[in-house]
Amino acid sequence: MFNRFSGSLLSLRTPRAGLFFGAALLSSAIGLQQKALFAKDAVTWIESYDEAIEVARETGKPIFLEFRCAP
Amino acid sequence: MVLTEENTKRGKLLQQYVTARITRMDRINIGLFDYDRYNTLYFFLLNADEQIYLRYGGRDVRSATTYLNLESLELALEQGLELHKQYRAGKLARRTAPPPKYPRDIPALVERTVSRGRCVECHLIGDLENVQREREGTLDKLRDLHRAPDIRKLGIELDVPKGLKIASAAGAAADAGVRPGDVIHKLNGVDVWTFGDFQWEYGRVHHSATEIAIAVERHGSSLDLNVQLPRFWWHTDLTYRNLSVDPRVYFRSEPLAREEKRTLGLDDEGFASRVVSIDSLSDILESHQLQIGDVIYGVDGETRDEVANTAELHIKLRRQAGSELSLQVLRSGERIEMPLKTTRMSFRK
Repeated sequence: MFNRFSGSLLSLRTPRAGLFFGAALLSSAIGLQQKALFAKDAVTWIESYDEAIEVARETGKPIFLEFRCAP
Repeated sequence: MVLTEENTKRGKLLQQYVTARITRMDRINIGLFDYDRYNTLYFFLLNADEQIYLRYGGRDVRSATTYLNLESLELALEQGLELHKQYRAGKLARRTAPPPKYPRDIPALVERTVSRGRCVECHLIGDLENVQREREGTLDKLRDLHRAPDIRKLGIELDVPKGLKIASAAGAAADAGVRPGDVIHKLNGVDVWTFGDFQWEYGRVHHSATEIAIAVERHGSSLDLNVQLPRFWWHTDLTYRNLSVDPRVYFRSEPLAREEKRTLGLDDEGFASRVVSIDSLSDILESHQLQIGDVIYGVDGETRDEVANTAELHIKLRRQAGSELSLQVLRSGERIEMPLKTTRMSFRK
């Protein structure tokens, strides 16, 4: 039986409710409206790459690195 | 509206990561984080040793968001966590990092942005890398402009929320044995987890290649399949990269079908193409006097180009900005000669 993760991730192939990235959410919102949006984000975003590496080293966590134009 | 709530699946996944958002590229190793800069959003999942597990992003000419989807993002986040677990357990081979490269290493970029204290935006890196290559005589337009081939040319439509799961297969993909429900997991021997991974690797295939090897998961087994690449498989509409493509010609054209070329008495192996839109700047810049519906069948007497299927593409790929050309045009059944003055993009934000 083929398994990329030796059995651990087969469940990832199961269906889930699909939710599209809203273009309005991620690329169209501008200015203050968008700043307010990100201010409410429950995830803490680090804006320095070097700091992200440092925190990842300290915590043992992987990094989710996003490149985008400024909100 | 909240981007990511803590009690959602995505929120729980993201909290297992160090989340970083980079909006200025000044001090980023763009050699390591190389990607098609014309993506609106692009993500990397990696570790503190800077080993990239996977990419999330990618786009096509239809939209910057064609392949972006929250469900497939969650899938990528889960895969990233598993790969991280394997890495920490010593079960994942370390990859050799590409040579480091920073925005400060691109003189054209330094002139326009870094030295002026301006924001180094992703698309500027893409544009000015090409400007620099052109200055140095190393610009390979086929490689450097057509970076993100469209998988639909292979006949592949993905079930986007499911990552690399095939929704439908036709053409070259179907001929190779790809079937709906298959999940692509390797391209030319390299693991691919997401559409971003696939498009990145696919974009690195040499344009002279005639086939690619993919491996798909089907009913719990892995199958190796060879997909024959159709002619011009790498060619994509460059419209959404317009700012980065020199020379500027201020019109768009579409290829004529072989039958139509024959009917019109044109070279049926040639790049004859019909003008479908005219940029209003053509008048101001006195670039040309083409009209919608004109058929351009020759450029300075040349009618064929092994990699260009339109006159417009032939000019963009083969001529320098600023060159003046003579077009052979068919208008209302009459063959006429017409000058074309190409220009260089003089302003970049």
